[in-house]
Amino acid sequence: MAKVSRQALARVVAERLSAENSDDSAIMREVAAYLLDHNMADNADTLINDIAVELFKQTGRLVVEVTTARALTDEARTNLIKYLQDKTGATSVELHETVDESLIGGLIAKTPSAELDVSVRNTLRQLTALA
Amino acid sequence: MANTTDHLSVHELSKELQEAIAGLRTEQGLEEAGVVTRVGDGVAWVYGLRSAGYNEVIEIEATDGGQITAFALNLLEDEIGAVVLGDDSRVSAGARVRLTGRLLDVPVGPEMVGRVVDPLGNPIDGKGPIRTKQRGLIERGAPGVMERKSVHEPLMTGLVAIDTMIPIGRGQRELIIGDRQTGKTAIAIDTMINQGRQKTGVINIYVAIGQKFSKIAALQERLKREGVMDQTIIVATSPSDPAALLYLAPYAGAAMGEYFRDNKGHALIIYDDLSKHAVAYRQMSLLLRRPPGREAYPGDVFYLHSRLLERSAKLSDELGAGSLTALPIIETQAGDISAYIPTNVISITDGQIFLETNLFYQGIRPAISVGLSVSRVGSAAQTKAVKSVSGSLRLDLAQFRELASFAQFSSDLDEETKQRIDRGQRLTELLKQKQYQPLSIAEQTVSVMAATEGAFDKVPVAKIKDAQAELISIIDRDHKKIADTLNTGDKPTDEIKDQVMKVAKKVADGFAAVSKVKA
Repeated sequence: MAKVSRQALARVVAERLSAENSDDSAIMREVAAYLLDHNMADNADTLINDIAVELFKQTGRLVVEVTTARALTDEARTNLIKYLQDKTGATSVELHETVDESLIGGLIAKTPSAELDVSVRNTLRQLTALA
Repeated sequence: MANTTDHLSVHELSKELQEAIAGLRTEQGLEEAGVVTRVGDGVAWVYGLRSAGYNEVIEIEATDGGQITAFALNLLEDEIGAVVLGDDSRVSAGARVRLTGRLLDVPVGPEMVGRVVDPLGNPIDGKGPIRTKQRGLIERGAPGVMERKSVHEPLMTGLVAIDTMIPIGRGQRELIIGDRQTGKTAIAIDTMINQGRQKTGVINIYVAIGQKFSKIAALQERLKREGVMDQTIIVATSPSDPAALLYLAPYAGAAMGEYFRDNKGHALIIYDDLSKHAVAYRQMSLLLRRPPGREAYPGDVFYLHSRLLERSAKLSDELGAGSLTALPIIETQAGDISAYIPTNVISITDGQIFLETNLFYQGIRPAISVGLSVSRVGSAAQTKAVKSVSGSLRLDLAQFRELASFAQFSSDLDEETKQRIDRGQRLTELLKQKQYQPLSIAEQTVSVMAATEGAFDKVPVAKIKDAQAELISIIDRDHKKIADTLNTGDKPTDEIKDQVMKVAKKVADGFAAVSKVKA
């Protein structure tokens, strides 16, 4: 059987996941079986990311991992969601928040295909690299 | 009181730091980001970056916190294959990758002249940074049909054999092809030296593709000694450089040459050599898992050279009438000009100068095979002075080649055949030329005139070069007006011809007399 590209697979999985009354667990079990069968188990993480990209394209739902130096306030959270909606055109934004003090300040927001890094750590790293 | 040099250094450093800080992305927004999934052999495979363009420059976060530049060459559905420009050991799997939205470019402009740089425009001659006002794209389209004019101005190499029978014009692409150690680079160097000697104003660009740095250093030294380095740019890559840099080198050189072409200037670019360029591209393509074709070269190896050489052109008067002349070099194996890469480049260029090993070892240097060499531009690119005397040269030599095998039977031949053989031997001797001694238009004209009109027929073959040297010396010393007139390139008048022939016959009589005495 001809090998299907990861993106094509992600497209199909995203379509099924976004269908009404979809059984997400069953779908993911099928995906796992497919990956194992085709020796693509190592690609699981990247496939999940591709599925997230396709879900965003199909449903407008954006999943974002946010890492901050300190917990987000409600106002900051609202502003961040508004910013992400403006930039990406997402209809809804789902934030997964993590606190990492090593950022020193600012935040890192990762969408499936893009990244916003306004952490103090990153700025310091860039300045150090100039030296 | 502070040392002025120290004060300037601190000021310069401060200015650089300020510019670098300003260059940081202060207005950082949501940017497309990818991640390196695997890296090795100079190729990084990147996940993400779905809107990456072909040849787009990407930046990879290095393990030491810095940035490494790469450019995207394989745009696959699931990943991107990017060629790393620099040390790929600084890149690790999981490194973040960003798009830059730009294509590869190099600094261009008159500030590059006199410098030795790498294919990214970084100086490697230890003379400090180069600040140019402009940058040129490494990959750029060639001028269209209507933007060009036909090649009509000569580009003198200073080598009699080439300027008389295989003339090169500004904007032409003339291939230099031959086995190793046959004098290919020597022709290119003499051409560059001649641009300085004759003060043509042509800027030389020498692109060394995978050449030993010792050879490049020796070349730079020679050009300095000849006073030509201050109108030359050297783009240097060694065999130890990554294949990506060898691949980019000729395009970077072309970008630098295009600056002069597009600004009403003239430039000469030498690609030494495109065989190594094709090998480097093959290495890159195989590592990018592109399907191999004939001799394992990728399918677009023709396009690799055709798009490079098409950028050498003569522009129309409306666009400033500038030109970029190319002398690509190809190394053959065992004289096989019907191999894959040689035939590709022969079909692209406007002629070839074929160098033969057996001629070289016979002492005929430059070892040009007149029969196999051609310039498709021809006499349109020849000065009238040289054109007027070289008409019968090719024919005389062709007839000599046909009869050369009979030379051993000289006692059994008729007079006409003997004469042709004698004339051919003298012409062959005349066309020999020492390295780093290009001749001016006047010197070439008087030499060839004397030989083809029969003035040197009585001079022993072994003394032809001495007779030529004496003739040139007398013309330069006692008939400066004739030399100046001929150097303008105009066709010699009958009066000038008579005067030159008179001097030539006198010189020849001297040598003929000496040989009689010795006999």
